[in-house]
Amino acid sequence: MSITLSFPLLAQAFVSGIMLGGVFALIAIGLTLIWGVMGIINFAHGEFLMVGMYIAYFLAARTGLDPYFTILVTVPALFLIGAGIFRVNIQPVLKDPVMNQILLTVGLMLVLQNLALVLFTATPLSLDNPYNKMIFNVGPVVIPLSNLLGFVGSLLGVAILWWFLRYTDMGRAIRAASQNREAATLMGIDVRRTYLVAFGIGSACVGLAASLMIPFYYVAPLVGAFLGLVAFIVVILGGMGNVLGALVGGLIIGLTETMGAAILPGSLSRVLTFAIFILVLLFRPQGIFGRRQA
Amino acid sequence: MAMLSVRDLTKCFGGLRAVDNLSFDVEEKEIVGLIGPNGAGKTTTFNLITGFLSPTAGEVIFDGRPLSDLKPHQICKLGLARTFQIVQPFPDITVLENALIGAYVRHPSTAAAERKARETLERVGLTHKADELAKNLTLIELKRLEIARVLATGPKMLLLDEVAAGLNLAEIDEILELVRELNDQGITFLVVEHVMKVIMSLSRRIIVLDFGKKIAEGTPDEVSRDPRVLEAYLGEEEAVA
Amino acid sequence: MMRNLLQGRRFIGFALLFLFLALLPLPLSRSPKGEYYLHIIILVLLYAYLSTAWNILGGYAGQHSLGNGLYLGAGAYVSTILFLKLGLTPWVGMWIAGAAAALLGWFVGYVCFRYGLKGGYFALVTIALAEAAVYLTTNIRWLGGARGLEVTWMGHRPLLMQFEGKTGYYYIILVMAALSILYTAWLDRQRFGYYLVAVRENERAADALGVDPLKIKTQANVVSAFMTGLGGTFFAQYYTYIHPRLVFGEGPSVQILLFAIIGGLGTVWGPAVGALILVPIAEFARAQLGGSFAGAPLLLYGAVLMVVMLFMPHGILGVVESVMEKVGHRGKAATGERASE
Repeated sequence: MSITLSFPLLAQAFVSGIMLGGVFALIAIGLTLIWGVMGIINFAHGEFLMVGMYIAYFLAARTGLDPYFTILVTVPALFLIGAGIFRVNIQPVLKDPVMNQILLTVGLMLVLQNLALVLFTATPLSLDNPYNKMIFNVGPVVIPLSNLLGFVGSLLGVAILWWFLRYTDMGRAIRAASQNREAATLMGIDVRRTYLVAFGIGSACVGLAASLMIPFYYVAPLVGAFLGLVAFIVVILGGMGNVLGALVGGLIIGLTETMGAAILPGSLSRVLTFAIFILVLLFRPQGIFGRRQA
Repeated sequence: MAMLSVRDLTKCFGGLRAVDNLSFDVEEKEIVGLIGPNGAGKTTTFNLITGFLSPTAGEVIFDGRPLSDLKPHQICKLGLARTFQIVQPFPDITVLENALIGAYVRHPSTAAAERKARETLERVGLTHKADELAKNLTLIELKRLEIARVLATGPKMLLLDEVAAGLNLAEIDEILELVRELNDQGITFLVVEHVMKVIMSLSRRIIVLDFGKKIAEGTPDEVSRDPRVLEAYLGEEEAVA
Repeated sequence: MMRNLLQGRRFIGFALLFLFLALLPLPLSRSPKGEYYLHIIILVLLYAYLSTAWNILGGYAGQHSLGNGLYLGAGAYVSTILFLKLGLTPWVGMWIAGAAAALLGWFVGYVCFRYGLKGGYFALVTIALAEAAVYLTTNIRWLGGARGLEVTWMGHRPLLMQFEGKTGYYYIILVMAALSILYTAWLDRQRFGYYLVAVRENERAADALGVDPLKIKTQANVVSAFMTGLGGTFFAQYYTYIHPRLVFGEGPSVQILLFAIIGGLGTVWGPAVGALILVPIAEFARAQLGGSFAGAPLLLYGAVLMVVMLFMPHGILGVVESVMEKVGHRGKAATGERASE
């Protein structure tokens, strides 16, 4: 089996990968916040994205609202959903062994996935919108506007979150709580409220990503399954709780997916992605930017 | 030949020398105390001896056998066992089952191991709690369990890490009694303690650490009069003797 | 770790249950409705078996693999390939499949535990491995690719592990399930079983007490993988059609661990109880709600998992245990019982 590698093909894959990677980064950043702050591995993170995408889709499709304006709805909606789910489901089990928390989110993942399947069926939905039809041609590379906007929006989202964590009181509280829960409590930080907010913000990030994605990505009950896993991979790769790490990790995985798909036959690029994941977990579990924990 | 021989043992964590060229011996059937101010490197020394940490330099020889590269479970099988500063029970199983796991080292069959386990429970006075889940025990009971468990492994030598911590005076006396009995029955001890009463009355010989180095060695009497020792402890809160 | 199955009265109870189950096909196989019930019981037994296999690693040793589908698939594919390409009867192929799964389990276990993967990280790796297996097999045409493999139906051929009707399959899985429970009950009283628990409860303390955590965890993984691999062969023979997502996907993996958790981790009967309660309900839901509600069983499972984690994390048997404890210490001569060995 011969594989024709050509510059145009690789260049396209590269650019697509970067753009996809930006979106991966935004999805992952919510997770790295939740995981880094609370040590909770939220297996339902991808499903939150899926929920956001359905909200955005129906809003745009039924009301004719410009997909990017759905951000005004999905971000607060996902914040509330995330915070609500945290309050009702996760906060009660915070004191239990970590595995129980993980299993709880696995249960949540199953519920959301299959609820969506039951309500919407497995048929993928594609939003009819002008943005994926406006194309830029840069040399041999084709860049749909929707992808470009998704990329730019993601970077903006990452930047805003970074700014928030760095320069606001709540952001600093979150960072403090992530580094040392006890010390943070002693310093007067209401850790429970901080967790709630962190979970909400992490979910809101996914809401943003959802709106950014519907112009160029399909909507289906199982999209969260793979994208959620990607988020985990990016977080591990970049280092838990690390914003820059999520960005770099996202780009790497985005590139792996697209370049891998260009070079390797079939869906072997996925195997490559998982291989990277496993290798990182084995040999450098703290990720690229993470600190080795004692 | 000494039962335990520590030679030039050194452990560095980055730039910090937690244990610095430490050398000492423990003879068979001795009870040797290891003391020093907080952070002197006592628990690190224990961890080095029992295989939980690997030394940067130096070696440990137990019963004629070098312990370098051996893992904790292998060292335990050789007859050198330890307790932990913060008790480490198996919470969701019974007291008997806790001891059972220790007993399996020398008794692979469940019947024999159970007999041994009951025997050790009796020695530490926990028979009445045999069917209680470990997580329901009081601190002194947990300490006794810790000893029973490690006793069940049939050790020649025991390393006790601050076994008296958190106990009241009567309970401390109980533990002292127990250690003396076990020593009479042939077990060698190396004991880390902060509670001076314990160390002074138990040990035949005491080694004093400060900043990872041995600063004094001798009988309790000698050590308590050594100016270097007093200086190291100045400003340190001594437990009420 | 309470009253054990292998003793006196309890064993008789077990034998009676086995006998009862063994006699069931006689009346049931006479009607289509009865055959349907047999099908449900087969599913219960199959998942009780797979869950019991998982329980050794996840319940006893405390290493929660979320990707045991890897071994299910490995077993299913190995025996099916051997059958399709070499005409090897699955009765023999099954053991090769089990060995292959065990080897895989050894490799995965050793590497993961050697590098100190625990808890959530270990879970993630197992998920990634199972997912990777999906994509890998999808891309290998020789393994049937995305379309999977069909176990060619050759009529009622017991020597090829193919049966008309459900009865043949029923007995196979009944024996497998019974043996797995007997094995677990035996293990519960052996050094290996206690070592598994020690590693789960406190790895450091176990290490200090002469237990080799790496060896024990790896062994648990191997045993679990082996048993699951054998189950994979049955799976392939019973469904007569396997494809990557069906066996390697998260469906089986999650269900396998689910029943153990709901029933009670680290207990002999927990997985079976969990399967017994949930599988029929899920199948009922699937049957009632029909095609477009194919997600109904998993939806149910997810909801139950959440409820269990929130309100009874020790599973159903855990609740039973604490109720019994409160009702009265029936002279906890449980250990007295044990002494008579």
